[in-house]
Amino acid sequence: MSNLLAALTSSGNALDVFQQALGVVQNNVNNSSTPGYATQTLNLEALPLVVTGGLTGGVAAHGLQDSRDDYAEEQVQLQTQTLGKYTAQANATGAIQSFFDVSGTGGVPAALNNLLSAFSAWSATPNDATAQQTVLSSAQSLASSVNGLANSLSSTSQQLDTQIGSTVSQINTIAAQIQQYNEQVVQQTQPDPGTEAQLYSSLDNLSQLTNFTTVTQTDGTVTVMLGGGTPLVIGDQVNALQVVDSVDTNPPAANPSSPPTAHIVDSAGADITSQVDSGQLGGLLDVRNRVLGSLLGDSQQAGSLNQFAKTLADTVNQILESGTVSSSAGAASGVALFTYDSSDATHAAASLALNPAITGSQLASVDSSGTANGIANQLADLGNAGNTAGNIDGMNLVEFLGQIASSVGQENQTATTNQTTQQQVASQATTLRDQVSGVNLDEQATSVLQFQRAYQATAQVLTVLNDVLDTTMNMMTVTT
Amino acid sequence: MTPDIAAAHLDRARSGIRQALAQWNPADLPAVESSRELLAAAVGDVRVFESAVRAGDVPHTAQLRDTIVAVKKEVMQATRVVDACVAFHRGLLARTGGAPPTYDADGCIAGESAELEPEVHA
Repeated sequence: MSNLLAALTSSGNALDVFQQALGVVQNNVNNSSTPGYATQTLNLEALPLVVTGGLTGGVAAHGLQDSRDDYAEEQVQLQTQTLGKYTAQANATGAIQSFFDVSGTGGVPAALNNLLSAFSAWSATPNDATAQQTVLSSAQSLASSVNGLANSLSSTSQQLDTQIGSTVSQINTIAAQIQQYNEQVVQQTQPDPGTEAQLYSSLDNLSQLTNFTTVTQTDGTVTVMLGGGTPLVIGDQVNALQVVDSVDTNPPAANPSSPPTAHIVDSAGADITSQVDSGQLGGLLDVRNRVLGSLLGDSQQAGSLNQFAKTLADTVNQILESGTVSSSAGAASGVALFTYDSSDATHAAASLALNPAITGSQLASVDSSGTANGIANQLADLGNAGNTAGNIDGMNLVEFLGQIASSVGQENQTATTNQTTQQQVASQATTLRDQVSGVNLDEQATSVLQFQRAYQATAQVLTVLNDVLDTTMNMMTVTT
Repeated sequence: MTPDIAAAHLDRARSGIRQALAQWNPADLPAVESSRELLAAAVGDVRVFESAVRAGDVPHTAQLRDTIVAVKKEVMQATRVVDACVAFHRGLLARTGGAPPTYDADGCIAGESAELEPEVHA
């Protein structure tokens, strides 16, 4: 009788365990679209069966096991961080590129061509008031175009500052969520799939924004470290980040009044900008500080647009001031065509202007040898290939301007290509994560090795393909 | 070989590379194999084109050079995707209980390079 009762009790327990298992399955189905949720399984264990000893066997539940694979999670986060960086770079450089007219029919290149054409027309009729006035108005237009470009880039810089501030704010919000998770987890007696789903969802979101690594502590809390090791979250502590715009002073600033660069500082005020090199924040910082710095200048460099404006003004002014307005004895010397703020090398482009004191009749066309249009000819030659006056880095003004636009275009193209590729790599990491999650890798080692062989075979074909293309290209003797 | 036929081989190679990348699914072994076969076919087409260039059958124009550069970029893109897969699984293999694979100087699982090479060049 007692055996019958024990059997019934055992069966009742088993039904209870199976009900739990069913509940776990139901929960998995319910959470199939929950961000960060990992499929759970209920560990079942057979109970001892000793018929003569009264142990009736049965089944018992021994906690939940999730399908999450930490390595795969880390890989997805890593690839997502890189995608965030390339996406931010592609968007930001795309905005900058739109200010540069590569066709040469608009913007600064067209204005420069108009000025050079005006110089050329003036050289044909040096004393013609209309030709002189065209030079002045073309110079005015060019200065306005350069100012406009500098202002547009400055506005972009401010927009990027806003985006950087917003991104940092999002990072701090997520850090606070992780901190809350840490507070919850130390109070739990066993892992809770729902809480863990929130954590991993937060980490997925964080990986779009910045580069970091995580360490799970023995008490179950998660420590989040930024790329360079600066803690963002430790236990119940958050190291909130801030954005500070300032001019770098280490090394001492060559241009103390230059546009400031964006810095990320931790709650103790330490500058950790260099540690943020991936994620959306890394991409934004790169374009804000490096790309825009190369154009508008920073504490150490004048910036290519300022180089152009200064060289243009200095060269044109120097040539004009070396001439006279007529060939008669005692004729007035030439007057500068442009002015700019020379107090800081990074102010030239924004402050370039037509000399307000100059009139058409003050344009000096006569050179020191007495040639009536010698100065006008020198100015018209500035855009010609081989001309060395006004060269920057071995390029004349027209070529240098083209090179600025080309470098911006190259930045955008590289970022866009990287983004396209990284989208596939990130998506692939997710696929691979899903493939290995919940799989016992020790049992599946053969299958993993089989996949690895197939990937390597493909990689090898690509290497051969690349080599053959290299060989072919090296045989191409294109001269134009 | 006429320049048009040579160029058609290059175009077909490019199309094959794009198709291989578009259908690449690292979680599906037959799909991986199919992508590899497409790439191997592209190698064949590029070799035919290379022979035509070597024989002087193809004019060395800037446009053609730009096309080769563009194809190379697509190959580099595919390489990055596949390399990411290799790296991922290399990490997985390092975590398995069995003996981890050893790699040769080319980054291939030891002893497999020679086996694969003839297949690629076939």
